[in-house]
Amino acid sequence: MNNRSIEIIKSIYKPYRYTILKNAHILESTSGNIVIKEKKRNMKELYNYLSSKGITNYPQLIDDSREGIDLYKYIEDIPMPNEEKALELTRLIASLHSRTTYYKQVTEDDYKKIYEIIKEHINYLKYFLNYHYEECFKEIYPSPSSSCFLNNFYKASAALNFSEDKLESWYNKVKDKTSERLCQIHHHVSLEHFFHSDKDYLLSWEESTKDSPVIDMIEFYKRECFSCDFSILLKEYFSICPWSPEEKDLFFICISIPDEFAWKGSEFTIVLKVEKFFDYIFKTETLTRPYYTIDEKEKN
Amino acid sequence: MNNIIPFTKELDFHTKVNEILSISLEREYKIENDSINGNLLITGDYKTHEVSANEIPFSFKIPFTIELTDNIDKEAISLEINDFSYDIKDDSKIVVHIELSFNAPTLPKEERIDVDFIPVPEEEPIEEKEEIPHKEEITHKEEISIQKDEEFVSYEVHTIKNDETIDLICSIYNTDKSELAEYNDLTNITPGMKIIIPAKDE
Repeated sequence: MNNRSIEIIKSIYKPYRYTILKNAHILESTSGNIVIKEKKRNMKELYNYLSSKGITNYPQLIDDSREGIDLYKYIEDIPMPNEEKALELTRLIASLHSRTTYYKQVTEDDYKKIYEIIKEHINYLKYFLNYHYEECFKEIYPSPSSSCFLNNFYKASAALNFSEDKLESWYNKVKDKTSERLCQIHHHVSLEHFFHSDKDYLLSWEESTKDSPVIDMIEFYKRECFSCDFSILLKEYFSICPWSPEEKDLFFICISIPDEFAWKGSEFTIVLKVEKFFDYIFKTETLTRPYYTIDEKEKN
Repeated sequence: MNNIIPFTKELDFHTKVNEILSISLEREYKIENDSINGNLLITGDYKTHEVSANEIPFSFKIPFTIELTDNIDKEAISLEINDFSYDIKDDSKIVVHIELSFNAPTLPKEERIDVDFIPVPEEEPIEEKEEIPHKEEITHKEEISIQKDEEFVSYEVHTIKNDETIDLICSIYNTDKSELAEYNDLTNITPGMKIIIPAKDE
C-alpha cells in the first residue's frame, strides 16, 4: 500500500486510533472513522453499475482520487447470530445474482476447458489420497492420523467417484448448449465480509467480476460450511435466484471435491487436518444426497 | 562471450488465479553506450476459478538493464530467451523464472602497459659487465637475474606521505636503501612522490 498517501491521510484526519486489520487500515478520529484500502481497480465504475441495478449494499467510497489507496466510510457492525448473518448474506448474494443476470454465447470448447480443469483436479486428488493411503498402510502401528485416514479413506474415494461420475453427465448435458448464464459475482463471499448496520453491507468488492453465479456459492460453502446449515441457505437462495439443473450439478460436483491439505506438522496438527478433511466430506454428502436421491427416484 | 542471465520476478494479479490458460514471453531491448535497456513482456489469459466461464487477459512489463563491459562488440550483441517457467503462488501471484541468453563477440585486447609491472632489464653477459661502484650489489642482482630467468618480477608503488622518511619506508617493506636506490632517485624525495619498491622473494 502507498505509505506516503497513508501518512498524508493521517496528517489530515489526525486519528486517535489507527488499526490495521488484514488489508484494511482503520482510522478513528474525532471527525469520523474511515477505512483505507489498497486501490486495485476502479471502484466507482463498479459501484455505479451496481447502483444502476438497484444494489446499494456496498461501503460508501469517500475518496478515490489518491494515488494507490481508496478511502471508505467506516461501518459499525451490529452483532447478529452467525445463522442469521448467513441467511441475510445468502439473500443479498441471490439478489445480486438475479438482478445482474445476462446470457453469453458459448461454444463446446468453453465447457470442455471447465471439464478438463475439474477432471485434472479430481485426478490429482485421487493421486494425493492413494499416496497417503499407501504411506499410512506401511505403518505397523498406525498413528492416530493414519488410523483416522485409513478408516475413512473409502468416503473420500466415494466423494471423488461421485464428482467424476456427475462431471461426465454434466459435460454431456452442456456440450450442446450455446449460451451460459453469467452475472456480477462478489468473488469473496464470507461472513466476515457481511456487516449489518442501517442496512446490509457486503465489503471487499475488489475481486468482483462477471462470471457464473455457481462460483460465489462454491466459495461461500467452502468457507462457511462448518458455521451454518447450508441446506436452509441453498433453499433460500434458489427461491430468489433459481438455477438450471446443470448449474446445480456443477455446484455439487465442485463442493464434493475436498481441498487437499499439507501432511506436515506435529501429529496433533495432522490429526486435526485429517479430521477436518473427512468432516467436510461427510457434511457435503449430507447436503448433496437429497438433491440426487430425488432425481433418482423421479427417474425410477 | 556467452552468458545465461537469470531473472525471477513475482507478479501480483490482484484477483485470484486458479489456472493460467496461456502465457507468452517476449523481449524488446535497445543497446546504449554501456548497457542494454529493455523490457520483458508477459501476456496471457487466466481463470479466477475452475468453473469460471471467463478468460481474463493479463499483461505485465518487466524492465531490465544489463551492464556491458568495454571489450564487447556492441554491434554483434544477441539477446534471446533461453528458458521460461512459472509457478502459481498464494492463489493471486505467479512467480516467473526467465533465462536470457546473452551472446556477444569480444574485441581483441589492445597493447597496454601495466603501471604496476616493470619488466626486468635485459641482463648483460657477465664477461662484458661494466665497472660499477657497488660490486656486491651487482653480484646480488646477478643472482636474482639468473634465478628468475624469464620470470617477471613484481613491484609495489608507494606514494610518499608527509612525515615519511626513506628509513621508515624501508622498514615497512622490509627492504634497504640500496635496493630502493636502484629503482628510484632518492636524493630529492617529496611528499606525494611515487617510488618503486621491489617485492622480496619469500
